[in-house]
Amino acid sequence: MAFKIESGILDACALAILDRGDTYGYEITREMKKAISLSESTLYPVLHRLQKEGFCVTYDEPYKGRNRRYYSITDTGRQQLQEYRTMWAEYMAGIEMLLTEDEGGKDE
Amino acid sequence: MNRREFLEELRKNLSKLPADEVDAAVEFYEEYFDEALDECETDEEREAREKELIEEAGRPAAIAARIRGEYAARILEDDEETSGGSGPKNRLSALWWIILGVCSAPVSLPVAAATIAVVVCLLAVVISLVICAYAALVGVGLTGLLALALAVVSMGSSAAAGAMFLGAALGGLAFTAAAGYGVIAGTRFLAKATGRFFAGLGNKRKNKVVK
Repeated sequence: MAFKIESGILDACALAILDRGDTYGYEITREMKKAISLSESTLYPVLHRLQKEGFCVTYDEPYKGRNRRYYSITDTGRQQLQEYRTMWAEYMAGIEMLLTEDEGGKDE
Repeated sequence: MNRREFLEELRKNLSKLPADEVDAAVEFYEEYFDEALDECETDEEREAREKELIEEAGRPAAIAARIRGEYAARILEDDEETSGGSGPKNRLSALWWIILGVCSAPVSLPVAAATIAVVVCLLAVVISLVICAYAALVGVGLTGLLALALAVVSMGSSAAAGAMFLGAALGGLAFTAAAGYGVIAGTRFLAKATGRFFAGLGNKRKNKVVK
């Protein structure tokens, strides 16, 4: 059993990965899977949504006789990523506070 | 299920979306398979990896449902932006998309069947109303003609009776003519309105443009 990851958080993670450099779907999924458990099919809706919202663009590059679709973060995407980072810091702090409250010694 | 079947099933379940959306989705997963299998060195590895991927990815129908749901949510947002709080017709078609997107086959079939039943009932009501109108019309018309016949017959024996029947006949026939015009016009209007209603539902689905 694992926590269900909210789609906003997945968007943020995908943007963070793209911020480090243009890359393609399979690679993005692989990076994500290093950190969280997610199904192969989770990422497409996320990437597609980011694209439709203007946070990333795609371009094709031939590779070994087929097509590789690369995703690239846009300036709007970078702004959004910053917002997500702030939101995440608050979110994490809040949950952290709730979850560790019972442990007597740990205090703010 | 193998890779080809997976992709076919995915495409089939996405078929109601615009062609470029369907292609984008299927191409993504096609590329995914290609990349993963490329890393394998032997055919055995490839076979095993393919099975593994398909198992992890889950049912194509479920994936398609999520993609359709996202599409519908986007349409709803776009509508509200462009038409400043969309009219009831736009919401209806977008809502329909969300229902289609969220339901997977086992649930959507009964929903579709129920919807069709309601539509059929509505049509039945409209048609029976029209038939009643015509029946009433014919009834009054025939009565008018009968009164005319009686007028002719009784003219000979009693002028008063004949005049009465003649009056009734003329009144009935005049009413029939006027009402007849009204019923025919009403039927044409109903037919057009029903046609436009269904065409409207269909067109909204096909002509949606995604930014």
